[in-house]
Amino acid sequence: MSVSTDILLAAGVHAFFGLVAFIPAIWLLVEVKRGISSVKTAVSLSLLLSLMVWLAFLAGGWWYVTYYHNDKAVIKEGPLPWAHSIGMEAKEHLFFTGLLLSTMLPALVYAYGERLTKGEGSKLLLSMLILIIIGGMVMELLGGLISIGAKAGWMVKVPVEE
Amino acid sequence: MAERSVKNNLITGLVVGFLIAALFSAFLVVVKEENKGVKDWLAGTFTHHWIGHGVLTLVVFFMMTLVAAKYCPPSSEKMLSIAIWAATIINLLVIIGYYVLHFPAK
Repeated sequence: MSVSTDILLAAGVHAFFGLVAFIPAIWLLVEVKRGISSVKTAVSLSLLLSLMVWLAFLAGGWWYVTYYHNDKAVIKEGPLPWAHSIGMEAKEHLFFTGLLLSTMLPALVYAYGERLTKGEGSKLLLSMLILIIIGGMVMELLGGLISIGAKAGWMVKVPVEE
Repeated sequence: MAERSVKNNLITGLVVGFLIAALFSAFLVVVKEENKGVKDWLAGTFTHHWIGHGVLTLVVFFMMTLVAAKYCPPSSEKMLSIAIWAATIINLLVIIGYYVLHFPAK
């Protein structure tokens, strides 16, 4: 596999799974808010959410440890150094918190089981889903800022005359 | 207060495990950034400091979940929700605060 294909796959897959994770997260949020009628659906959605976040984490992590050092050097020398020093540093460490939340979610749904249909556990699940969704938005925002930082850095480094 | 059962113990264990792991992760950010030796040890042991950070955070989470499920009494849903919010907000403030305060050094 060529380096360029690697880069496209890793960067694209990371963002793709991160975005797809919003679907089961928002779906489950609505289910919990309306009152869960099917525990099976809730378990499936929580597992799907967890899987998507793990895939985003693994793809992004692989990209980060394999290729990001190139962007890092360019961003730090570019016009937006905070895109790495604050944006990436915060993103790479805050992701662990979202990963923990999405990992424990299916176990909590399983543990509450049929009690969910009586509304038990809904406050806790709502709290977690709100945090996962807001956290996902923060990750998307920081990812965008890091990309802009890299783009600006590369533009300065490789100016093209018209 | 929820009654003791395997599933209620698991619920409390998971939340306590998350609480401790989230605080540990934030603490580790400050410790490894302030101590080059710790960061180098993580990088040397796990090939990259970030991988080491993630592995240790997950290990703390799973271990503390098991310990808390065994020893912590089941808590009310309200207390568990507060714990989740508090741990996440503290984690967020410590990590973002640290890098904002140390910009552009890091």
